[in-house]
Amino acid sequence: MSPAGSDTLLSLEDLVVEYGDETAIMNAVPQRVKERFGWESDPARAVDGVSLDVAEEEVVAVIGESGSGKTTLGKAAVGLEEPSEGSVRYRGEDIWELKRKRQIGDLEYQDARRSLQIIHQDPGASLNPYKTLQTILKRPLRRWFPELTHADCRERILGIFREVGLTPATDYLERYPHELSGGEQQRVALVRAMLVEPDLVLADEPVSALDPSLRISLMDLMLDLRETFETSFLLVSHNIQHARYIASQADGRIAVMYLGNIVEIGSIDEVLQDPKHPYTQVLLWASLPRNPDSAVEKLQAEPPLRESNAPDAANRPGGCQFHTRCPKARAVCADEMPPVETTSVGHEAACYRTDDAHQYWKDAPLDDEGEIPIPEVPDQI
Amino acid sequence: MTASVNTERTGVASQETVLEVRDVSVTYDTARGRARVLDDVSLDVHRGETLAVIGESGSGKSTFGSVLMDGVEDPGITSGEVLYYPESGGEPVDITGVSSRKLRQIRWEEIAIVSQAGSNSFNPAISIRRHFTDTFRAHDVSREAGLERARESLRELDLNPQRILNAYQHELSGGEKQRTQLALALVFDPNVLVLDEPTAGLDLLVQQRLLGQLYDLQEEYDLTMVFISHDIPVVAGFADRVAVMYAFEFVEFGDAADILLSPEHPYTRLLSQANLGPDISLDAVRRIGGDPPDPVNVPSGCPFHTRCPIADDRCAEEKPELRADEADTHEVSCFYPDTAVAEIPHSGGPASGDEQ
Amino acid sequence: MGTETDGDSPFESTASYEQTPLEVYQNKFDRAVGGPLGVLWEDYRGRFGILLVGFYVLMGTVGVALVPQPKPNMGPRYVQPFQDPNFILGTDGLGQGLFSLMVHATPPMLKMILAGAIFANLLGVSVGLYTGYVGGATDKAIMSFVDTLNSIPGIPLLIILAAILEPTNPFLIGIILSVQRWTGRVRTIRSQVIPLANEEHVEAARALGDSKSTVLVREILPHLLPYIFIGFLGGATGIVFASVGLYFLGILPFDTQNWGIVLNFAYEQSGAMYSLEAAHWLLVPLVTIVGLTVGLTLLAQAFDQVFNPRVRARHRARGTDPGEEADEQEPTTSDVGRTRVE
Repeated sequence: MSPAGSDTLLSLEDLVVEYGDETAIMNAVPQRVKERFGWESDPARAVDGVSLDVAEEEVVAVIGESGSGKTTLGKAAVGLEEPSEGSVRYRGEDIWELKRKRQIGDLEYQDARRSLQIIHQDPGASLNPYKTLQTILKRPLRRWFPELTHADCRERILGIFREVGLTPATDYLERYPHELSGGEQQRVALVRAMLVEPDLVLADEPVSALDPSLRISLMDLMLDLRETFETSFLLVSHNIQHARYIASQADGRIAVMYLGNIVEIGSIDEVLQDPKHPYTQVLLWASLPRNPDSAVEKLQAEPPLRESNAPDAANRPGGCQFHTRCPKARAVCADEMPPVETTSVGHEAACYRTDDAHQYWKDAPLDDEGEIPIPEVPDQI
Repeated sequence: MTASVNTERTGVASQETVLEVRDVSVTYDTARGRARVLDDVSLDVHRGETLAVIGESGSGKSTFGSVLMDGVEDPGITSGEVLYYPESGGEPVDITGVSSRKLRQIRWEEIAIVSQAGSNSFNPAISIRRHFTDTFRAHDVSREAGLERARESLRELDLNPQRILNAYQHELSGGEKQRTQLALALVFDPNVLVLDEPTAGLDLLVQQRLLGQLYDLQEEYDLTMVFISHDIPVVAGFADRVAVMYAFEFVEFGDAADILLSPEHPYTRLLSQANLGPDISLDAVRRIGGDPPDPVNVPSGCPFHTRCPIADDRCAEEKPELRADEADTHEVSCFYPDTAVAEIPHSGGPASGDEQ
Repeated sequence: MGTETDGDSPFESTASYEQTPLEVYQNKFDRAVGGPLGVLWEDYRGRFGILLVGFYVLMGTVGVALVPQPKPNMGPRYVQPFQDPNFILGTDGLGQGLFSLMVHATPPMLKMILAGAIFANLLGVSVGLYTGYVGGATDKAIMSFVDTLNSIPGIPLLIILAAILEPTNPFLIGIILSVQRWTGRVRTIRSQVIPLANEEHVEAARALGDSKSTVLVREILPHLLPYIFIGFLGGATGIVFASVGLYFLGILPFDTQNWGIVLNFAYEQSGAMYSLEAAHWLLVPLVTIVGLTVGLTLLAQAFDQVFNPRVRARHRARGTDPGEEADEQEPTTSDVGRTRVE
């Protein structure tokens, strides 16, 4: 899945990330014994076989609820979590292979490490509370640009502060993170990531912890820096509106995740205007409007789902994983996981409904009361 | 510097007051100077209504919520008074001055608070059941009767009482924790529920569901709700009246329809544009420049003037009072509300009268 | 202080003045030593702690040169304290000046403390940091080993080691006294490292290419410093007591001087517990011991402040902590405003 005609920067192939810890005792038991007695525990999968390509200078937003595996996917993509199966390729090379071998061909592990950066959701926790801002920002500079003198670093940091509105800049140099507001902290985290001129930045819910009025500022800053540095962004969020703001202005794509799989992916405008997967449609429905009358209606409405509680990755439903809650589920959905179908250029969804000729249409709805309608969401303007 | 609100002029049919806040200020002495996190605020809360308090982090909104339960801890100093009018009628009780025994009775039995989603409001070392039984003991309620009520409370919020009571807080999802907190708050059938960002950080579907349940509960129990949030869409469906906080005081106040659809204060108008939503086009989104006010160093004159697009010299020197606007629909604290309406676009949703 | 910019981006600017490495290190030293000392001095406990411990250090260094070696019959026996200007703290039953005894027992004590506390902490902290961060099979292997060692009972082990080795070198004694301690440190340090290893700023440091050791030292260790220092000082008091105890019991050879030996003699030789005349023989070493441990404990409490960045920030604001000076010509706007490159 990659947009036609661009250079692929990062490629995730059949990525699986498991979690689950065996106790020390079980760890010591030999594998054969476990198999013999059937003590094998199936580790739960946070990411269940995801393939995704990100091109240079592209913005891809990954949307999902908690438990969808989106954060794990993101961290695996930037090499902070090791996959259990599948691979993460940076410019063609598997980064964990690269790490072991230090260098493959022209590509060094160092290049990959520097090119993949992260911004966290909680800006307070992402800055070392024991160091001043100057120290925090100087480290990566000295590490990756050893030709810079201390004075160079200081000037560069001052310039950056002024650029992003942290003035008087000399004041901020000596401040500790706790002396900054949340918005300022996040700005510092952002510039720290951009300082090393990465190729791709994982933004993990970068604005969810900020006040609404600050969110726009930060997202604008991200977009600006993205243009300046020609960086790709992988945005992970549970809020479609954030994804919409960033991805739209960058002509980006959006991928919707459910229980460790991507269920729909496409350009942001297409997916929002014409969502193919019922889960995407339900998520769009759940966005709260500002107008009081529409808001009241939405509050009182029953969500268009068969079941309200989300399943967890340790207990996956068979067949299409969404079928237990899907308002459009039919018999075949419980049997087999639908394959990914391309509905239009660059737009894919994993749902039987995309295939007009499929058996699905002949089956009865799984819900006793028939198919649950998903109310039309007014067009995202 | 009183920013007081005269309830007769809001146009709402005069209703019973359940909480009266009079000239309340909260100050802290910090190393950098005296921080005033609530600045002489006055407000009346009507019985059975939902009052939305909109503000951002550092506007004083959470402190306002705490004050309603006299929950401001040392070294914060609260001045002014908060009067609570019990349902049975009779003398109002001054929450800030009453004995701690009486306060304990009022807290939870009359006024309960649900705090931010994701905050550690549960003790991780004890089971949820213990949380309930501890509360019962503190309020002289028998364990069995209390637990029965607890189970009812949990069931109303679509939670399995057996599972929840036995669980520890880390075993619950974010949405479940919030609903459990809500159940705990409602277990004594309080009259007033104070909610401080109850849906912060929750998934979209979980949020919709929680808000829907809140809506139903309010109808069923005739609750008075004080709903504090920084997210306008969250309160849009509930609010009867809206109070907007900026720099530790109220800058606009009135009926929800007025404030949400045609506000007059520059900050409120700008805030509407800075909120993302499905019903706002991306072109209309604007950020608010500048940074939030510092409690030790609030700007002179009108505290918003440093970030206000229509501010002039008068705004930098004089401080506006909260008073009724010309049409008498709501109260604003601004010298030029008409200019604000004329020059600052507002996006309140498709039904809004003055949308671009 | 000028800036040269390469192109338009502040991300590429370099300085047009020189700051010598010496200046940089001076700056760092000021911040690493000057700052903490300032914070300690401000706190009354820190002040007392510094003075008390400082006093003992003085005793053990300068004092031994100034005060005569204790010898039997250097003066009359059982002189009471504060009577004779030659023997400020009086003399014991053998005519040895008590002040001399105290002073000359201090250097070995200090050496024991130094060796022991450093040994226990260096080993315990580094192993704990590493194994807590690395996790997995390595961690499990290391902890099995450490836990086994830890389960060997401490006091009998000490007694046996002392009896077999009969150590006289205070550094060696210090290490022996701490041999049990380091395993406990590993466990406690590790349990603090594990939740820290998943913190966001640690993850960011990994992403920015910091090596394991850099991450451990710069991101994780600072959180543990208060605990480590307090443990260090607590270990020191532990060594004081352990050594005094072992000497008192006569298990460690009397070749090295120690307050415990004085106690031993006071107790055994003259029944100082039962006679007022000899009471001072017992009390003087007791007070000396308590004085050192109180000083160490106060210091430990004050150290908590040193590592707290909020306290450091307040100090900086008050000018007691060196830092950069604000440039008064800087505009005070903090508008995020940047122009979008259209």
